[in-house]
Amino acid sequence: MGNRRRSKRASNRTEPLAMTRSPTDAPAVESRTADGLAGRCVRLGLVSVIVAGLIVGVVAWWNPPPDDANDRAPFAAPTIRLSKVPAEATTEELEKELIGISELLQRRFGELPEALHVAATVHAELRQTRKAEEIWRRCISLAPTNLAPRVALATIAMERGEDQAAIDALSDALAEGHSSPELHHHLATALSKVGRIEDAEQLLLGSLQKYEPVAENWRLLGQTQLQLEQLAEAETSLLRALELGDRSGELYLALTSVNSRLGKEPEAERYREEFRKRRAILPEDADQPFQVTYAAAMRRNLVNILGKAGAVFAHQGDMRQAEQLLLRAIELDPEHAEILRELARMLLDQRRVPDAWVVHRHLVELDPPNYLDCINLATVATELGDYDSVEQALRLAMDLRPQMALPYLGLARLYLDVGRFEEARWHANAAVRREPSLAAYAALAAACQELGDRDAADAARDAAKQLAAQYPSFEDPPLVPTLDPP
Amino acid sequence: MNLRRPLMMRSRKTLLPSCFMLALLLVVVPSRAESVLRMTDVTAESGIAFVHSHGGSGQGYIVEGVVGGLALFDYDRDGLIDIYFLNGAPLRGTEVDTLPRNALYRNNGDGTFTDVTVRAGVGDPGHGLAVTVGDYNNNGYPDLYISNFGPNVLYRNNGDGTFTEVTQEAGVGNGDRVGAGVSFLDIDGDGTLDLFASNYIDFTYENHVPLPMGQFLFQASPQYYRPEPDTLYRNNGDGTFSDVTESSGIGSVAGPGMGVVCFDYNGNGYTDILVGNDGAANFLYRNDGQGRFTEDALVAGLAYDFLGNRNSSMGVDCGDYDNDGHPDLIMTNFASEMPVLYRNLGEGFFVDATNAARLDVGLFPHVTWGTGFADFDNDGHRDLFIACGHFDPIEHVDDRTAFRVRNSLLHNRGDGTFEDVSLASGCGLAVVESSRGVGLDDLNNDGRVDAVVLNSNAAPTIIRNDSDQGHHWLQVQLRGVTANRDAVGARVRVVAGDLVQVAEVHSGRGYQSHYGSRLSFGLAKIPRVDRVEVRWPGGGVESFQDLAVDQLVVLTQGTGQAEE
Repeated sequence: MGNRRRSKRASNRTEPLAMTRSPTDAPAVESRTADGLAGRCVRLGLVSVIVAGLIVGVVAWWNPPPDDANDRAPFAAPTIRLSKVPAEATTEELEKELIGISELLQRRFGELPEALHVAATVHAELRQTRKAEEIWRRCISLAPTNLAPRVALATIAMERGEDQAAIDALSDALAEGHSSPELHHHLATALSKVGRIEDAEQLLLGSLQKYEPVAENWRLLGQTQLQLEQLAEAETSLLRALELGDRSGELYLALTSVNSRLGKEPEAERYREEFRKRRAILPEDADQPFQVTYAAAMRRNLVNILGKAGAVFAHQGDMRQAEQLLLRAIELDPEHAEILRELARMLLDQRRVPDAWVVHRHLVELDPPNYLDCINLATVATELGDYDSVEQALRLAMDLRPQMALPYLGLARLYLDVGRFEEARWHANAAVRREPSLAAYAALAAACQELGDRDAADAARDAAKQLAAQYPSFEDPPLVPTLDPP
Repeated sequence: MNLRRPLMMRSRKTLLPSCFMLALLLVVVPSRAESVLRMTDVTAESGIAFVHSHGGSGQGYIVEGVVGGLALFDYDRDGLIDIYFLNGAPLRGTEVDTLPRNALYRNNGDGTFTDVTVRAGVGDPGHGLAVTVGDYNNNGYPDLYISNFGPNVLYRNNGDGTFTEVTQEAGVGNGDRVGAGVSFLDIDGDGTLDLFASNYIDFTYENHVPLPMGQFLFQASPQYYRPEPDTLYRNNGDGTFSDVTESSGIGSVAGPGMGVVCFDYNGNGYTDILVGNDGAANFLYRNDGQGRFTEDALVAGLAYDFLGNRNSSMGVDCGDYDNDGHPDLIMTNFASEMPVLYRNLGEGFFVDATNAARLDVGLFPHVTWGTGFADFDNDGHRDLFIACGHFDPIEHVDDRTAFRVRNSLLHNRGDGTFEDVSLASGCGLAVVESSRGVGLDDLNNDGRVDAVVLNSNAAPTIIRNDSDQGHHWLQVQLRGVTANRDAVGARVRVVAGDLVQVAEVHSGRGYQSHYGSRLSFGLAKIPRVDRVEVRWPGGGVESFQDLAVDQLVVLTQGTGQAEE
């Protein structure tokens, strides 16, 4: 194996991951010595990764060791620590903290609707519905066009048995031009509950003309038609909900009822059996003492609210407070992946790459690990020049989704970069087998070239050209964004 | 809504001012038009001094919350409906000066009642949960059966104003369990009343689950305990009963049973059993006519509500609210669950008609308990009474409801829908307590159905019906000969012009209570009843022709003639 280009980076691989140097000690990443082909390979690989990331809809990208790495200042030491054990707290403490967040949001952002919305949610969760209503009304007066507080207000009105108030709030929103399947669902539910079943049906029929593939609204329409004794129509609507993937107990119960009444007892019995199966499933915490489930529910509420409040502060530019809130959420629930990801995003936005690395590392250590978290860790680790982490993260990604080309391509690219060309060729070939792409062929060509196998390199280039001809837009990919702010 | 608030905060001690304030508010706020229903709180002048005890003192025992019922029945056959209140016993950790006991109040016929508990010998000190009435020995005098936390109690009516406790000799003690709704019914049409006793859960002081909520201990839901199968006793005809729980099929399932009503749900002439379960699917025991039962609630559409929720059912009553000839059901439930109105489609199927009937959505946040169908204005359409109240100091953790809340009265519009008239029907519905069992009967023989409400840990509420629309009425008392003497399980069809109504004689209904042995029919402006058809339990239909209105008639099996 040609080790002529093996650099200091490669030597770091001998250390176990846990002992990998801290991002602080990361030496300035050497400038890549790759020739044009290798550079093209890398860029094409990056594009492939980005496209893959976009396809799955996550903010995951692959950053190559930057060309200007020598000019960069070394990264600072990570400043955050993440516990793996949930912090202890009594339900009283959790409740007090929830109230505290509401007060903080109201104090800091008393005129900001999204902040007030989170504050109101706190009180709704605590069944302090009058307080929640008061805050949501303030939200609505500040942002009359915002639908969320209106829907929330209507929801607590219904929970208080004040469905007419819910109807008024949602009807106003409708009259002002708001339109969404959710709005229609809530309004139809409220109309139905006060006995205005025909109105509910008409609303849903109109809604489903506009937003057809909404299973929940087909189910609600079917239930509404069932109440109106429109049995054939009800069956059609309920079956459409089933077709759209609704497998809820209430759908099966409605289908049971409509078929019984249509005299189709075999079908009714089939749906009844499906309903029985669903009702036989107990909640996961069914055998837990109340104190445990209650405390867990309170903790979940607080963690969610901390996450939402953190987002509000981040949006308002108070990153310090946002970080504190998210870190508190993680203290309470160290395995809350969404909040960990949000924190990582926030840290990357601030170019706190070592801290982001800590968070991403924590994410991939969750059980079970997530494929995209592995990709993200590889990205951040690349930025730090921590190729051990890169390699391990990509290998874990391969284990998790062996059919995906991306980790193979990433490793091919890594091995090219550190001069392990045989391994680079093997992984590039594996990437091509899984998903032929310009990037994969380019990596393969580069590896073959480095190994002196010109025929194979030419073959890979030809294949790349053929593919490029098929997908011309991929031929000249834009440069990949780096962690630098634009 | 704002109108309601000041009244809700008043206790019974300020009842008269409440009535005055309500009247004042009704005058000044035109949107609250006065209802045709006029219900007046007459507790103060009734002479009833009974104060209920739930037996707890903050320990959060589940058996503290599920008290208790009452019975309205004419124990001395003087033609006046008397009142029997259940009481709680001091639960572990509760100290009392005087041991609470159940109480029997004799109706004096002048709006007052006299406590005859001691003389009658019915002051059971057990933790009373449910009560029913039935003449199990067919001697012409109604007997009492009480389910307790602890052994149940059977009081045999001696016919001289006294009762004898015969639980042991009759063999109906039902072990040392947490009882629930109880009913007499004739399971096999043999002319004697058998006995159904629902059971709740396996609670003991040792397995008590307290729920700390701030400074309070709340009551755990029944799901923290093991549900118990219900019990069925067959009447041997000699004053004793045999436990046929297993052989009858009743023991094939177990659930946290609460309210019970026995009725013929599918019109086949056999009495079936409906049990509301607390936090579990309800049970409908279908009777094959021989006293063997199959649980069939899901097929009948009674196990769950419209959305498939297993509600925490509390009380249940039976009545044909839409006059289609099929008895419907109302079931009360826990907070954040609507009471559910099940409309009987005939042929054994029910639909959840809660929305279609426009039951007041304002009930949603509250725990609802005692309930019953009764035609309070005698317009020929049965209205609904629903008692409300929590068992925890819930207002500390949920501002939507409270331990004490107002009860609800829903007027039947006659088109299959109901209207909440609670705030517009007088001070009888302005009382704010934590109510449980409700009984609906004509206490003063004026042809109008009154109400008695047992309030947890408080005095009861006696509500006189002063509705006066000039409507006619007919009350029917059945006398079985080959059928059981009180004709429990009989179905009565009253035809008056275009108005046709159906009712059944029940033993045990609502929330752990008994009332309505004397059937009441409102006739609106119809001056004559064409006929009354009685389908007697055990078989046979008999018709009684051309009856005058505004009277109580006694229809004796086989005579064809009404006694006025």
